[in-house]
Amino acid sequence: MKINTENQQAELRDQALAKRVVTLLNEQALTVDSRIASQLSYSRQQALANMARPSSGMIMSQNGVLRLFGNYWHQHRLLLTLLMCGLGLLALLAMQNMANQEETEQGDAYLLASDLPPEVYLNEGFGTWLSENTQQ
Amino acid sequence: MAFRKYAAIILFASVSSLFAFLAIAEDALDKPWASLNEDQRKVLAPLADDWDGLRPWQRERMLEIAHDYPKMPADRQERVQHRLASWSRMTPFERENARKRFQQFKSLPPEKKEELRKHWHDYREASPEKRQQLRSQHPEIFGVEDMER
Repeated sequence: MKINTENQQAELRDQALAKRVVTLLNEQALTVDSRIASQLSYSRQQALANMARPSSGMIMSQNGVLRLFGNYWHQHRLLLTLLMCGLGLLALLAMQNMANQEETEQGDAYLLASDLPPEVYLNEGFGTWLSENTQQ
Repeated sequence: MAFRKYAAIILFASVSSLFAFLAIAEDALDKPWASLNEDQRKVLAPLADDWDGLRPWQRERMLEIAHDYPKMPADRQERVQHRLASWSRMTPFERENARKRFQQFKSLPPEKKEELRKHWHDYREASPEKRQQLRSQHPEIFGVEDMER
């Protein structure tokens, strides 16, 4: 019983202290310069807006699925970045492989099998002749 | 949690694929003559003595030739084999130049290509004296030295 009374007294003291703090802050707030007051007000609005903003721009639904993903993105940025790099690398290798296949179709074998012997292509005069005739 | 698991699996698969690709590429680059299959050795026979001295990237190019060879008709296959040795003796710069000019040749108008083919057909059929005459008439096409086939 005695303990309860002591607890209640402590709570009352805390509340009184809090009221005094609030009163002091309110009094001081009245004396704050209007420019500083407007800056503080602006900062407060910004902070509230940030708090209200979702953790990613993807929250569109109310069922939490996209919210989960948005949170996941923030928690595992490194892992997902690595994953994307891996996928990008695979795409690059696939593209390179396709390019090589195309190149094979017009590879050295076709040059060697062409009507003209490869030595002809080393003739500077022939190079000039080719340039002139392909430009026409 | 499940998404994390999937992400880890995909990442593992990506890295494994990369290593597999590198291993295949390495395998293609380092192939001694003894490791070639029978078909490759048949096509690349003119290079048998020089093969092990070729640079890995040269071998890769030659293996590409062996790969395309079966797709060609017999007369073209014969040309490839006949020209293979001299091709392998060219410098990388010369080969690259030849590739560029070959692409230019392919982009010529059909009538120009036909004209060139005819010149070359006549040149191949001609006697040594006639060849000399053709070379002096068209040095830009036939060069200054006799070119076989």
